[in-house]
Amino acid sequence: MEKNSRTHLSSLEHGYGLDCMKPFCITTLSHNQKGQSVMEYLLLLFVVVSLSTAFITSDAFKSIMGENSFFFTKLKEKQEYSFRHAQYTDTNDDSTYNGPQHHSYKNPESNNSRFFAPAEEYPIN
Amino acid sequence: MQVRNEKGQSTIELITTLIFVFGFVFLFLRTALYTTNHFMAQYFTFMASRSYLVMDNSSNTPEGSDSYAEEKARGVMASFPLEALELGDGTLNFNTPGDSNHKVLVGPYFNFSSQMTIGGGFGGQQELELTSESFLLREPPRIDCLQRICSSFQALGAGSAGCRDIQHVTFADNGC
Repeated sequence: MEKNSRTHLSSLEHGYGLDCMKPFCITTLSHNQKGQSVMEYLLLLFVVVSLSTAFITSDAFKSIMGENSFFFTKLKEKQEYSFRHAQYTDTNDDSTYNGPQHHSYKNPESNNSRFFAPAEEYPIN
Repeated sequence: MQVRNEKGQSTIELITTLIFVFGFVFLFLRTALYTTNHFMAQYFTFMASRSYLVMDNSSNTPEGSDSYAEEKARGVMASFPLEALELGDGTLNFNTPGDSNHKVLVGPYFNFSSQMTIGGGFGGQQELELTSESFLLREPPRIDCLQRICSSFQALGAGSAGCRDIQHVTFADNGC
């Protein structure tokens, strides 16, 4: 009985989606949708990465946010100026130690000294 | 057959959210740490400036006394943990009374480079060239006062060149 029996093997026993009878297994592929979401995810990831890379490496983006770009160069100048003079302006720092035009002491925009003095002459006559 | 469910979704969302949360936290931490370093650089320069203001070794020339004050101010600067605060590459320079054309700018200034406080990526990698200045000026050294007093005596007709024959000179408040 053991020898002549035709054992039915389920697809789960096979593990690869086949349904056959020993010893005459007929291999037929069973199509399913198991990998669809993975493939969709990979394709979507590919598109997103491609678009992001194209955007980041574009000249337009580099001119704004890249190395030595306008944005970061301006930010660098602002940080350096405000650290040195405790002022936040758009003025270029041309301070020197050889004259009175040091920006910590003289406001280059109003051309006035940053030192304060009495508004009225003392003693008041 | 594998049973699919949505058990992992919240975990994935948590991980994704944590990336942004930690990103912002570290960005603010980085900004805070670099800002602190920069403030400390201002403080160190100020402390060096205080030392430069008053140091005097009774040299027989004003320049000799100024050099001594510079040396002491550099010692004050070096006593702070510059390396730990990423200020080790900085240089302390001086506007001395002798070579500065604008006397209100006498004192030390500290040049150093640092990372930008904002933006570690993209163009934020360029370095800042920062200058910390503390111009507390400099007290006249004793030899300066002696020379001034000598000049006054000579203007009155007393004292020869260098006032070497004047033995008794009263110094009140450093004589100046």
